[in-house]
Amino acid sequence: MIYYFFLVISIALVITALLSIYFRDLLAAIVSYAVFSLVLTVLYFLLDAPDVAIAEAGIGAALTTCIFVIAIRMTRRREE
Amino acid sequence: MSAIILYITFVLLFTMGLFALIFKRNLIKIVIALNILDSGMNLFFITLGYRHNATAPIFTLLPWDTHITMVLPTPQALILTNIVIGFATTALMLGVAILTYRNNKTLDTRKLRGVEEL
Amino acid sequence: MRLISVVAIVVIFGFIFVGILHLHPIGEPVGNPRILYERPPLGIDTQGVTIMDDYFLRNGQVETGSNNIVASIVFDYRGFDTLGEATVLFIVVSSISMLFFTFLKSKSIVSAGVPRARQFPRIESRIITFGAFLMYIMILSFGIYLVVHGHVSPGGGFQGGSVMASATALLLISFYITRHMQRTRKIFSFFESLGLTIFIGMGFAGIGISFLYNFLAHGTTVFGKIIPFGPNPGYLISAGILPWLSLAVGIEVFFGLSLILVTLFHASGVKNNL
Repeated sequence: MIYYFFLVISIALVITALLSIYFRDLLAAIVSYAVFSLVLTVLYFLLDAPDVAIAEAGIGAALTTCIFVIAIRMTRRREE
Repeated sequence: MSAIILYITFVLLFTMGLFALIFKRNLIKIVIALNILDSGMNLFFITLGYRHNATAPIFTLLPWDTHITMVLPTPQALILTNIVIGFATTALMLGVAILTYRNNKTLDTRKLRGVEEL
Repeated sequence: MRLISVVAIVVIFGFIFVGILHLHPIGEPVGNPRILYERPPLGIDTQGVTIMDDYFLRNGQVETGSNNIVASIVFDYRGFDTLGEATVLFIVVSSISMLFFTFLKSKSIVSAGVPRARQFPRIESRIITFGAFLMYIMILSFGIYLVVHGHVSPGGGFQGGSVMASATALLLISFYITRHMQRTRKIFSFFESLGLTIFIGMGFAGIGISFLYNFLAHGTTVFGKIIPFGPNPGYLISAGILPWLSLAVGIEVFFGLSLILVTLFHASGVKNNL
């Protein structure tokens, strides 16, 4: 039963990772990466790792997005 | 298929990260690719320690019966520290990328100063 | 050149793919799944232990007094490794401060540098600032809870510190703070050093037996409550030096990650023509 959850979440992970590599707009790529991290948090929780899930939610979804947005603000948004 | 589904996810994430790391030219895109590769490795380690029909390794208010099992705790402890360190190194890479942009006015690795002479 | 890269990626893909076919199926790792059965309530017991994780699961709660086995591994069994990680974090934060040193010393910081039209939409809305302030208090309380209860429930220094640092990010982007940055960074770097110093000091406090020895556990009056094996509602005064190390790491991670955020946010306000 839980393998169906794993299958759905794996498909979501691969799609969001592909999007975050594919997008030419870096801001969209980073939002895709935040979604990727959030889905990964759910997967960690299903894998019985609540400690890692909390750390990934705090770091991957919030802090990484914030720091990438600051970096894009200091450079440029489009990938040429 | 159901026995290796998350391993396949790890292989796909790892290969995607490696692919983007080699073929993308934008420095920030390269950092994103490294992050995806890092997340794939984390997922692989946690998957190695997963045990079917088990509980998290925490004893507080555990519904106790005679058939209880727990997942392996050591991969979780390793990955826990790796996530924080991964964020710190990501910030360092972004700092270097920002300074590169300030000096070269571009983020493209093929257009940096001194690349043509190599 | 592209052909060589593609061939290399395909070869690496093939190696890893063949490798995962030889791993154990998901959900059935090595080790004894019956490792928690028939455990005496006290004392070290190694019956049926074949791998390291079996030992941690069977003895971790009794030996360190911590209900959370992951926290007992992070701060007790592998405490030296955690000291290395904390040092890596400290060095990275110092490197970022050094990278942006000339940026932050320059005088060209004019209202965060960017022309007023290109700034984030000026937040003078009471709704956003007040809501962000309420959320800040709640996230900070949750982070402190995670740090303090690290040995009882899921949590610990790393998780609580990162959650609190995300509160800092919320405060920065909602209030758009541009003043007193220099002083803020000085205070943050002081507290970050304080966290690492507390960690090393707690390590040296048990130097009579070994570095990072858990000298407070097993029956002392402070944090030394003896916990028998099995589920319990969770006691705060247990696990010896583990809550202290968790607190030290929580302080260091919170102020270190906040210092990264504040430094980059401050540097993003410097004009382009350096």
